[in-house]
Amino acid sequence: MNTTVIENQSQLQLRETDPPMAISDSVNQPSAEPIAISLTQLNRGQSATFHRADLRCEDCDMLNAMGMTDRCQLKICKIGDPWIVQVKSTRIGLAKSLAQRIFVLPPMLRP
Amino acid sequence: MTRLNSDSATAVREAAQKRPAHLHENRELRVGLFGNPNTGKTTLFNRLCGLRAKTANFPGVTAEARVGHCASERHTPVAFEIIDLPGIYRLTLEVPESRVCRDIVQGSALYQRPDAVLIVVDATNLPRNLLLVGELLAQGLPTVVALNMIDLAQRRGLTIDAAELSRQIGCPVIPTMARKGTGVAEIKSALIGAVTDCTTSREAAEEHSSLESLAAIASNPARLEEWADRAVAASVGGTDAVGEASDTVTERLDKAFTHPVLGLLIFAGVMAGLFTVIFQMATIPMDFIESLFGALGNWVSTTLPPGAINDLLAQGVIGGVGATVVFLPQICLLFFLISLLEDTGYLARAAFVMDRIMCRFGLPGQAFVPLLSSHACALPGIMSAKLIPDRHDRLATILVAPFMSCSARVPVYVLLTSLLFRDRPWLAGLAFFGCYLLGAAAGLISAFIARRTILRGRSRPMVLELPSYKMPALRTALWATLDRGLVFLKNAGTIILAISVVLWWLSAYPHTDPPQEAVQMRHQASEVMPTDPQAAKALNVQANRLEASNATRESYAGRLGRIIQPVFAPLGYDWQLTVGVLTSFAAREVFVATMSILLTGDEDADVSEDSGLIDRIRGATRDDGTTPVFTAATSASVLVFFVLAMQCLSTLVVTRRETGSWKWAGLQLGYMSVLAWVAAFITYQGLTLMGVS
Repeated sequence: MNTTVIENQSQLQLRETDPPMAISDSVNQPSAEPIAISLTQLNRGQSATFHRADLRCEDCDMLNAMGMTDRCQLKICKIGDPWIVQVKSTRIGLAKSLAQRIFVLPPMLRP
Repeated sequence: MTRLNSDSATAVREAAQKRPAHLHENRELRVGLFGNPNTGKTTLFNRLCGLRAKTANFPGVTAEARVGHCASERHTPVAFEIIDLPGIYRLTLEVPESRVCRDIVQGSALYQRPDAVLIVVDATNLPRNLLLVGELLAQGLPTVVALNMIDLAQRRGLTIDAAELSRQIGCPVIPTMARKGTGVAEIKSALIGAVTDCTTSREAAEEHSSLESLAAIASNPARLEEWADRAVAASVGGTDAVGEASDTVTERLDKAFTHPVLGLLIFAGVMAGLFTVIFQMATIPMDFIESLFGALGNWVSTTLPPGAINDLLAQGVIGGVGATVVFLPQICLLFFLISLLEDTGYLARAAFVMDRIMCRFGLPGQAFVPLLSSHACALPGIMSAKLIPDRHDRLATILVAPFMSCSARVPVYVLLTSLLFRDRPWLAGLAFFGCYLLGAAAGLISAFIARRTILRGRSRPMVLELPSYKMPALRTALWATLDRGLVFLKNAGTIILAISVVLWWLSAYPHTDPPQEAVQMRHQASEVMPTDPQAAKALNVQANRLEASNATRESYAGRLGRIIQPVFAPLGYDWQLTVGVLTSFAAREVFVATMSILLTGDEDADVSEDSGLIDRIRGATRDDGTTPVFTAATSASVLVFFVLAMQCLSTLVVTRRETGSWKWAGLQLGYMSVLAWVAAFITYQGLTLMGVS
C-alpha cells in the first residue's frame, strides 16, 4: 500500500465549529501517511484508528486502561457533548474538551 | 506501571516461597474479589455471600469495600471471607481504587494478603478484562476467573471455550451468570482447588508463560495486550468476533439521555418521580411502625410501676428511637430505587448531563458520584471524593458535599413538609424535592465561589465507561437496601439511642414542683368531679399541660435553650426549637426525636384523637399556650436551616481526615452554619412580611 488516501472525503468534512488545532497538526505530515485529525471532526457512525491523545498522563492512562490503546479501532456512536465512542465492546463517554484532544487516523482507501 | 515493574519479581518470588497455602480448619479462606467496573462483580458477591456481608472502609483510604462470608457446599465445608474490592481497570493505574487493590494483593501497608484471588471478567469484553487478569496473575496468588455474563456473550454470537481460556491464562475459568446464580458453587470449589492444589495454576502458567515471564509481560503494556489478545484468539475464535454488534436502541437512548435539554428534563423528571414515589409509598409502613412503637410505649408505661425507669424506657428509649426508626421505610425506598436506577445503566449517562452543569461551577464530572453518594450520607460521599485526582477539585467537592441532602435529613424534611402541607401530599412531595434542589444549588454556588477564591483552577474533563442498558436486578437492589437500612438501624440503636436517652434526661430533670395554677386546677377538678365529670376532666387536662410545660421549661434542656434562644429568635424559633436545632448538631435525624420528647409531654391532649407524631407536634404550643411552635413561616425557616446547615459531627471528623486539616472542617462548619442562619432568617422574615404565619 504505497498510496494512502482518505476513503471518503465527503464523510470527513470538517465542521466549522471545530478548532483548527488538528488541521495545523497535520499540515507537516508526509502525504503518504494518513492525516491525524481530532476525534471531534468525525461524524457519527465513522470508524477510525486511535493515534494519540494530548492529555495529562492520568487521563491518557485511564483511556488506555479503558481500551483506547495504540492503533485500536474506535467508532463514533454520538457526537456532541459528550462524545460517545465504542472501542471493541466498550462504550466510552468523553467530555467535549477531552474529545477535542484525542487524535485519530481516519480509514484509508483500499489500493 | 512503575510500581509493578519494581515489585513484581520480588512479589512473585515471595509468593512462590510462601506457597503452597493451606486451608486451616479454624481459619476462613480470605479471597480478594477483583474485576473491571460493570462486570457484575457485586452481583456475584451478593450471590456468594447473601446476607452475610457488611460495608467497610479500608483504614487510611477512602475506598469502600464489602466484606462477606460464605461456605462451600462440600462434605466438609470450607469457610470463605470474600472482600468485594472497588472495580478497577488496571492494577497499575495511579488512582486510589487501583492503589488499594495493589496494596491488598501485595499485602503491603496495613493490609493482609488474601489467600486467593477471584477475578470477575465480562465475557463480552474479554480483551480488556484479561489485562487486569494478567496483572493479577503476575502477583503469584492462587487465582480463579469467573467468566461472567456468559449468557449475554452467547446472545451476541460469541462462543467462548472456557477450558481453552483456562489453559491459555493458566488458572481455572468458571463460566457464570451472576444474576441467576449459575456457577457460584463451581467458583467455591475452584477456589478451594486453587488454594489446595497450589501447583495447578503455576504449572499451567509455566506451560505457556512462566510466572517470571508473566511478571515481565504484566510490566509491559504492549506485551500484556498481546498476551490477552492471544488468549482471546485461542478461546473465542478471534478478537474480531467480540462486541461488533451495533445497538441502535442503545444509541437512541444515549442520545436522549445525554441531550443538553432533553437529558436534563429526563433527569429532573426521574428525580422528581423518584421522590414522589418515596413519599407516597412509604406512608403505609411508616404508619405501621409508628403505631407499633406507640403500642410498645403504652405497654411499657402501663406494665412497669411508675417512676424514673418507666419514663426512661417509655419516653426516652422507645419514644426517641421510635421517632427515628419511623423513617426507615423512606430510607429503604430511596436506596432501593437508586440501586435500581444505577443497575439500568442510566446513572452513568446522567453523570454527563450533570457534568455540563457542574463544570460551570468549577466541579469536575467525577464529583457527580461523591455528590450523588452524599445524598445517601455525606460520609461515603466525602470519602469517595478521594477518587478525584486533582487536589483543588477534590477539596471543592468535599467542602460542598454536606450540602447534598443526606438520608439523615429525610426524617426532618418529612416532618417539616408534612407540617407545612397537611393533606396535600403532592405539595409536600414538591417541597421535599425542592429541598434537594436547594441543597444541590447551594453546593454548586459554593463550589463556584470556592473555585474562584480559595481554590483557583480549572476542573478536569470527564471520561466514563457507559455500561450496557439492562433490566435492573431486584435481588441486588434488595441487598443494597438491606445493607443501608441496617446501617441506619445501627445508628438508631446506638448513637441516636444514646442521644435520645441524654436528651430525655436533660428534658425530664431536675424534677420541679407543679405550678400553683395547676395545683388549683386539680383542686377545683376534684371538687366538681361528683357533679360535672366532664368539666373535671377538662380541668385536669389543662393542669397536665401546665405541669408539662413548666417541667420542660425548668429542665436542663429548657434552661440551655433559653440561654441560646436569642441567637435563633430572628429565625422565629422559641427555646424548644432552639434545643432541637442545637441537639441536631450531633446528628440531624435527632431533631425529630428531640421534638418528640420536648413537645409531646402533653400526653393526654390528643388521647382521644389520632396521636400520630406529626399531629402531636403540629398541636404543640409555645410558652404562651396559644402560638404553635411550628407556624408556616417557622416550619419553612427550620426547613431551609436544615437543608443548608452543617449538623453532623461525623462529617466534620471525616472532612478533617480527608483534607488532613481542621482548617477545612472548620471552614465547612462556619460557612454552612452562617449561610443556613442567613437563609433561614430571610425565609422567616420574608414570609412574615408577606403575612404567612
